[in-house]
Amino acid sequence: MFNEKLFTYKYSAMTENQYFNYGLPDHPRAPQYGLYFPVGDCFLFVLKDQRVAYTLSAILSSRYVTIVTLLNTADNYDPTTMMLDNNSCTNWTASNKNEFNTIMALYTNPLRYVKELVVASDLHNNIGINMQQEQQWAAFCCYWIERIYHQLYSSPNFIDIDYELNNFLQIDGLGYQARPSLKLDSIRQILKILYLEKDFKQAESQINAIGLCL
Amino acid sequence: MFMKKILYVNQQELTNPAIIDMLLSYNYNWKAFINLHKFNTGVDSHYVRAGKNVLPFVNGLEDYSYMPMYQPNITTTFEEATDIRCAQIKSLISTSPVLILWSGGIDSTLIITSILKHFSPSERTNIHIACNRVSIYEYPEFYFKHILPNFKVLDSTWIVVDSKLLSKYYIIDGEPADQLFCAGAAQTIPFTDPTILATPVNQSQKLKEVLKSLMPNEPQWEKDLTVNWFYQIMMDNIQSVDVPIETFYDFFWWYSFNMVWTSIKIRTLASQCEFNPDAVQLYMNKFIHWFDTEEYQQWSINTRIDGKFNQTLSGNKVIAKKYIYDYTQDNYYYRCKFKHLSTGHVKEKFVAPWFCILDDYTRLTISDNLDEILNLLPAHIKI
Repeated sequence: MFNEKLFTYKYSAMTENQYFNYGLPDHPRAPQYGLYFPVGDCFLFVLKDQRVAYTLSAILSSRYVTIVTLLNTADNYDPTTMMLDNNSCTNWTASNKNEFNTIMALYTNPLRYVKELVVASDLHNNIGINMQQEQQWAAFCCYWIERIYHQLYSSPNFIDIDYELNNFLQIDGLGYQARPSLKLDSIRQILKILYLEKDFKQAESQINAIGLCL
Repeated sequence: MFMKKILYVNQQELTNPAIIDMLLSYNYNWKAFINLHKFNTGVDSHYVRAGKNVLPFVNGLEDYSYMPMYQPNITTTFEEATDIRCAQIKSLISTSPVLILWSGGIDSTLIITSILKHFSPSERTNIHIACNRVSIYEYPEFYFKHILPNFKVLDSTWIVVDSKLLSKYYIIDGEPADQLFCAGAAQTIPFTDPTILATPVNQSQKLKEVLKSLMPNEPQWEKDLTVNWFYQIMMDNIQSVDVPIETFYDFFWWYSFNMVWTSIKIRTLASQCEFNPDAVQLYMNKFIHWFDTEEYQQWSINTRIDGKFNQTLSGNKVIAKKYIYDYTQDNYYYRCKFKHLSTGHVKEKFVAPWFCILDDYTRLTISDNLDEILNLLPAHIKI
């Protein structure tokens, strides 16, 4: 049953955050992804890009496991009346969460389809971590991952093919003494900071110090 | 002529037709017995350590897999048991370097935490850590903050625990920690319903339904056969001991603590390609299971569900996570870490299956020693 209360701004501070985004798809029929957070039994973050969702899930895995789900498959998903955004998503969980293979989720994370969106319990408020801060952190990571992918894939440049092919080619090991790609190294540094850093201010400061213009 | 005897059978190897024929001559529910491994995948064999022997094979490794008597007046805490263990390990360092196998999971992380807590930097120089990349992915902060700056690190991907390695090191792993808590397939139960494990054990029908849920791919008749048999033998054994078994959690714990412990201690021998008797003796002397102590076992026997599991997804081994948290102050790990599949599968290793270990520590294989096995096996069976 649609409940307006669940769609009010739960944390107004979230939207004031410069990194915040609602996580809504660009048009009603476009896919929308949710990172399901097993320990809190709720959706931690929603977003529109699958590739970004997987990278975000991998980055967050240094803190906790999240499972990438497709929200549109839910029977009660309706872009006009029933759509989650990053202000409301922690109020919701998946009716078929028991089917998500959590014990393997760190190693393999196939896309899970949500059967029905149901109201979450209050568990996520009682697990000893601050969900608002975690959402802000997820938003911050998502901001940078989106910019990295935009840099890599949106305009003609050599970085994207280098990023893809050298991932397995390891060209330096084949005798080619390449000068390091400054931009690619900076991208890797940013992702490493997002993965290993626990303090938001420290992470922001370190990334800004890299000075990469994306 | 001195008659050898079998101490331990690798029960995953009970597949040879001649052996099966021999076993079928006994009136026993072998089908259900073979299905036991579904309640604890990754374990090859089951042997009873305490109480009535309700299983078909005689535990020839009772001393090696000793269980202390139930003593409710002993109040050693988990933290105290850990600190005592660390002190025991300290005495080893002076004689030989130590290699700790770190999987990234709770148990092996606790070992390293305890060492960091109790060993000075100069005392740690003889301690090396073996891990693989998946260990690092499981707990990256611990690796970069606590392991890399403080220890020499080896890649465990290709490590084989053979005589060469055991000659160089005492090797420590995080077993049998799972058996101190609620192990095996039961560790997956919290992912569907964390609270059900607190159900009183006398709700037998509900317990059987939970057991059947751990066999999702089997036909109904096989589930009924296995579960009814398993429940009966477990209750027979439980009634023969005075250890309190109050909840479903206790039931699953006792199964693993009593019947899986021995196999866990032997498990690493499966990776050895060498079959000489000295290799087994060396393994038993120098491969150290951190959690195999009297103090840990007493704690486990005396502690019920409230001290082991807080009925949430991340609630198993919360006492071990607390020990780690007190040192690292990593709230994410304490609150959010739950069971992941063992990283043992990362390693591609040659498995040289042996069928059994004899009392002179030779190992027999089906391919080379079938006649001898058929001759000795009946004395190992007690039905």
